[in-house]
Amino acid sequence: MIHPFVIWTVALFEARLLWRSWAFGLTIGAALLYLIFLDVILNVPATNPPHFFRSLSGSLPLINVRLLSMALGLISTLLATEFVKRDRQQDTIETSYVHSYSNLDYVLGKVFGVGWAFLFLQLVILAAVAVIHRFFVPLPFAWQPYVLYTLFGTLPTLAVTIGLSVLLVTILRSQALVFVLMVGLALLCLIVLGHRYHYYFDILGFHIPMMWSDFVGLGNLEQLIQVRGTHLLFGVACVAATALLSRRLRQSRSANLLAAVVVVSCLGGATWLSMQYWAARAATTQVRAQMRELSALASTTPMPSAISYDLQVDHQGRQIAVEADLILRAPAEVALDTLLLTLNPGLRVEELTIDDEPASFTRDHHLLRVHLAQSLAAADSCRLKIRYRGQIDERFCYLDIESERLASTYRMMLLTIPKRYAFVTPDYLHLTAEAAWYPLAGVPPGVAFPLAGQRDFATYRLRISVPTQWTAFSQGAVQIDSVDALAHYDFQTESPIPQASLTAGVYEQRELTVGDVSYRLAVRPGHTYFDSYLDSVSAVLPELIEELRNGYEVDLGLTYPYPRLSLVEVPIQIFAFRRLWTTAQESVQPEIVFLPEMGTTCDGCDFGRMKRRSRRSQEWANQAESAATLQSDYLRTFVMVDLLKMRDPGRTNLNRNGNLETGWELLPNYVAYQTNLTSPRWPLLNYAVEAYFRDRVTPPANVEARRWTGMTDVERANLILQEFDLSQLLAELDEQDPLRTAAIQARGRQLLQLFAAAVGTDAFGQRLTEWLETHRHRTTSEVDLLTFATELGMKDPASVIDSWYRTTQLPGYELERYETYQVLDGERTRTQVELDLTNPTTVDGVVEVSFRFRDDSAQQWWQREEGKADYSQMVSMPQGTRKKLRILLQQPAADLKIDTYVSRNIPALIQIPFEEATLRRDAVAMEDERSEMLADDPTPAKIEYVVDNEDPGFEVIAKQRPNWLRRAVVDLFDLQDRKVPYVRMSWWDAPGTWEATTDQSFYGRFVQSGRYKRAGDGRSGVAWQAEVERAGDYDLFYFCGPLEAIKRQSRHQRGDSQLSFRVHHEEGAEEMVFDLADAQQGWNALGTFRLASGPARVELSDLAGGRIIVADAIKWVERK
Amino acid sequence: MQIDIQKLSKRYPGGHYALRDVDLQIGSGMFGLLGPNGAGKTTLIRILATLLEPSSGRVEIDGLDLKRDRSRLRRMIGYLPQEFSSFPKLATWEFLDYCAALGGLRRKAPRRERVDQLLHMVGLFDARDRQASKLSGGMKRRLGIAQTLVNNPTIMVVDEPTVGLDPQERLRFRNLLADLARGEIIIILSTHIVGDISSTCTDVALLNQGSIQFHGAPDDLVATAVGKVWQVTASQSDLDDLRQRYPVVSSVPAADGYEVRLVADQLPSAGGTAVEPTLEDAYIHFMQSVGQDMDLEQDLSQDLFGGAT
Repeated sequence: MIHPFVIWTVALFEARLLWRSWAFGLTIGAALLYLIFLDVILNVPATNPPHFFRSLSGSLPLINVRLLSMALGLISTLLATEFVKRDRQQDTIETSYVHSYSNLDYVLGKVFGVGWAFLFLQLVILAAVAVIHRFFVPLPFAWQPYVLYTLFGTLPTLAVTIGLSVLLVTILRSQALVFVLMVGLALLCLIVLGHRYHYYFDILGFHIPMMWSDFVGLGNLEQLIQVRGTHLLFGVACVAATALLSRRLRQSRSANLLAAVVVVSCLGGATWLSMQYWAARAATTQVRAQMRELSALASTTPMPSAISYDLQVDHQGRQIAVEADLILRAPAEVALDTLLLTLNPGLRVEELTIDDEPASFTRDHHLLRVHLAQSLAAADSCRLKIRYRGQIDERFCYLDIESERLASTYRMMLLTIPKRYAFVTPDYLHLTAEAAWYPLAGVPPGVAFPLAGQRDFATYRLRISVPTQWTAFSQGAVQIDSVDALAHYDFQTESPIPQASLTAGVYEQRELTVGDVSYRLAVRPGHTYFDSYLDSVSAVLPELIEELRNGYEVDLGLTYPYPRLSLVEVPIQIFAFRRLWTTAQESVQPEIVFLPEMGTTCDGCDFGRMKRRSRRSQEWANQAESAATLQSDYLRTFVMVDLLKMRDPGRTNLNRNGNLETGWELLPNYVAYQTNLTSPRWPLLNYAVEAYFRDRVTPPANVEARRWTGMTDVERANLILQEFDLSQLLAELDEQDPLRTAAIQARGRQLLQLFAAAVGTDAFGQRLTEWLETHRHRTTSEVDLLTFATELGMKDPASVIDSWYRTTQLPGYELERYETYQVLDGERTRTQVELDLTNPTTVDGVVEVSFRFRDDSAQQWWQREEGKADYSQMVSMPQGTRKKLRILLQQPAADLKIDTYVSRNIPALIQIPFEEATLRRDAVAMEDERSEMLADDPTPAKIEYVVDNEDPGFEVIAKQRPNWLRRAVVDLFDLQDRKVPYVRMSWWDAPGTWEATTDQSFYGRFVQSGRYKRAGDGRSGVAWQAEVERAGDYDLFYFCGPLEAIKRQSRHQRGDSQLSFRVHHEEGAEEMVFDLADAQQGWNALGTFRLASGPARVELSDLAGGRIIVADAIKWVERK
Repeated sequence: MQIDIQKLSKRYPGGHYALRDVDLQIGSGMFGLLGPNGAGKTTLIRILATLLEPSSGRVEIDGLDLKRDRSRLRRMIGYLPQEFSSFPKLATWEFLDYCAALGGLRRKAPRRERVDQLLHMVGLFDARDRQASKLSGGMKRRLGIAQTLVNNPTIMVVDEPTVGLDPQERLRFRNLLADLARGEIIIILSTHIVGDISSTCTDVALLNQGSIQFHGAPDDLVATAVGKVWQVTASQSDLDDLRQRYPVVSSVPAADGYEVRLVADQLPSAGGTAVEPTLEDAYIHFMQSVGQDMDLEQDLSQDLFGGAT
């Protein structure tokens, strides 16, 4: 049936030919070069490689496997088809065809030969990488990822590419056609399909989450087996089908039968795996929808609240068994017949008693209803004992997160990681309240937002026994007793907290007590890479911690409420989404921050880069700092960037694409885990309060992202807020648009700013802090907040909140004038800044004006960028007013930022760099804020008409359509919706059609935008048209947007950047050329023209000498 | 050992019949399959080599059905295709070694021994390490023969083996085949070069337009042309006239014009003397009689006579 000797002979022969072919030689050469290049780049300090590229034991092999299998997949396509082609064309092969063996033998031999040659090449390369990794990289090493990635990455890729190639060639008989088809398919899967449809079409294994964690291994073995198994079986089926369809006459009925059986069984297996996969996906969607629906229904019923928990946890391999003892209380005004609780649907309740009497209960997915024999009187409490056991069903987690966001790839460039929310494995345990691993009273906010949002503050006692080499982490003071091989942990909280977590595994710990807080760092043994960068910091560590804590708490106005803080490393797969009703994330629990494995996704954990940068900057500045100082800086950066969020990561931001939602900011320990504001009417109120405190410490939003994405999320959110109000957005949370989340959060951030602007910023802030301090460890209601606002003097806070909730009208601001100069203030020289800022809209607003001081120290720009502002001030901007501000600064300002919050402005953050200020002796040092009504402004003396690209008078002439292929791809994969209204400005890859882009250098009232495209042949253009009321002579002006950048780019071009205008006037039309070399930033005169009353028109052709052409605004000014 | 072909037809998808109802019996020894280009020789050869499925009819080899017993028959067949070259980047011995392994020689030592034996036999031992693709045309053909012999076949199918070879190589090749044919083996030699057959074959079949036109001993074929081959002395203008009217086998310049050898049923009008026919003359006469138009001097002199005339 099968002749192994023939298969071996053919495979050996094919492999030998392959090794000797020039194409394979080139492949080997390229692969080796690539290997050297990549791995040297990733491992040589001089190249300054980012930490995340190699921090995990699975990173380095994954990068290598991903790139290799993609390249080898493509090349194997060519070579596999090449062999088939040669078979078809040369009579020589027929001399071997007449020998006695089956077609299956022959095809298997050929495919094994090609596959083995590539696999062998990869194994050699991976072995080399492993040697480098093991012996030359001071980071964790594990052999498993090398094996598993080859198994799940390379093998299916080779099987499917070679199998499909040989099958197609056998059918189509055209190597060129098949190669084009296969490359097209590979690119389609790589670029368009690979990351969609749950990675089902990721035949090159380039996108599918696959990451080895030293804690838990892969974490998505089932998904990998199902998806990659499907690919592998499909590839094998193709190979067997090739044997069946081979043009060589068959000789063995049994071999044919076997081939047919392989085809059928592999296709059957692939179909079965696919069905399993898709059934699981469909079941997840269905179960989540059911759980959401049930939660929504349940949210209207009265619920108990939990007062205390006593949890006895038994870790049993992949299960937990828990005995929970709860004190529950009925609401103050309602008696309860049923106690509604939430428990993970994977946990089975085995026994349940109320006040030590057995009670009946029903389970409906996650909902647990305990039917009381005797109703629980209002405000009365009872004792619930419950014993349960089972596995954690992670489908329950993050029910409020829309499916697209839930399924989005957790990615850092080539590294994709499966998202996990809890782990119960024989070697590791990680549970947070999100998994409802203990009974939560009522329906938690994550399950039914925005309909319900109960978060109880309770005391917790938690007991667990783990092997002595393990460490367990939870909230509260701990007592540990070791008996035999087990350590018995007994945690007891000192004050009520809203949630408890439990983590246990093999850890290495460091502890330090500074002041009243005991700090603890726990990492997996071998994950102490930071030691080599922080070895001299221990002496100054207490001082540094004190300094950082004080700095943060002074800005925040609150103090850390717990006696301990633990930083605990967790597997890289643990992912935490941002929520709509709170700033808290599951990665931060009371007293505990769960850091990602090896700090991989933390922007501030790349100590290697910090060290290299500081060394370089010291060399440049010819300075030498002590190791302790430098290392303090590294640690400070980590704390400021990741834990306190007081500094923006700037250029090193790992989360440029926005998919790394997990954050580690300590803020929830100060605010969200101290109080919770419940408001059925305005479910966003709690977030609004938390966000107000967050704004006290966070720096202004980073505008760097605009360069890459064209718009910030805030700006896109503002566009959404002009279309939908908050009530609509919250009613349609299933709309699956992450930007809606950003829109809702932007609105949340604005509410208390409006309060503050109404009653005075300082007073409001101070009183709010006091209010929070008095509402600690408990849930508050909207009534409390309204009372608080009324006491502060707000007339009708409920109506302010209501209009905030229901309006789509946003304010817009114009910075009319700014000036900075030095002024004498007695003996001292100070910096004065004058600003004229207007809000010409009919909506009240508020902005934050902030400055950073000029810093002449040796620090480099990257070291001090994106920090918190040195001076900031909230400015209330009532509708139809101009605010004339004079601000006195202690030091010269480097720049001015105006954060417009929720507004029509794009860019939403106005940023003005300041030149060095000169001393103005006649000026008086003073600080004031004056308001003027815009309605009182005098009528302009001259008539002028301005038409911007945002105005109705602007049009694109001969709009070019994208080609049919692009249209087809866009239609097919529904890409149109993803297009942002404003694109980034790309100098090197300018679009062929007039695309809108924004930048502060453009003209615009609220939206500073322009249209741009690459210079064309004159077939396309734009036109500005205004309705001139009065005939006469008019000066014509053209606004040059990013002129400096255009000029800079034009220098690289042959020829000047000349613009061809066609100006329509009373006597017809006139062609004219305007040379940008003579232009200046802002309005540029094009000439004077006599216009008749009626439409005046100016056209700009895309025929230009430079690389790109920009269309912004045109102005006609009447000449008197 | 006998090959029995009955009512064998091959119809290609376009409707063209490459073979139509071919009946043929082939016994041990060298069998020549003669016919012009497009006669169906290669189709027949490929069917016999189990490379092509016939549309109808059957072939039995020693009682084994070509279709049903393909696996067993493939162990008995050696095949040399018309355009035999070799794989690139492969030494001569490596190619033979691969063929020997496919032919069933599993153990390395006897396989290597067999390879060396064959290399000696075809005179390529000195070239054993040279790349097979860089051998000369004749050496490649000899390598081709060696690979057909690798598994001691009882049937050898050789398709147009001497095309393009120089006379010395052609002679050497013929001798090689003749030596092989001494055993209990059938060698089917498909060719349109009559010289190959006349010097080696004991049995010959003439194939034209997919049908067997003649099957018998070469002498029987020669006998059909007795009294039909003429030697004529002609001037330049006469030669042109003769070429228009008869198949001219050769025209050798002489002192008073040309000595022309031609095939005609009757004495040509220009006069001449009847000469003893050769197999080549008989083949031309035969093809003439079945209506196959041949411009012998221009198209066939090289191929037909193998450059030896």
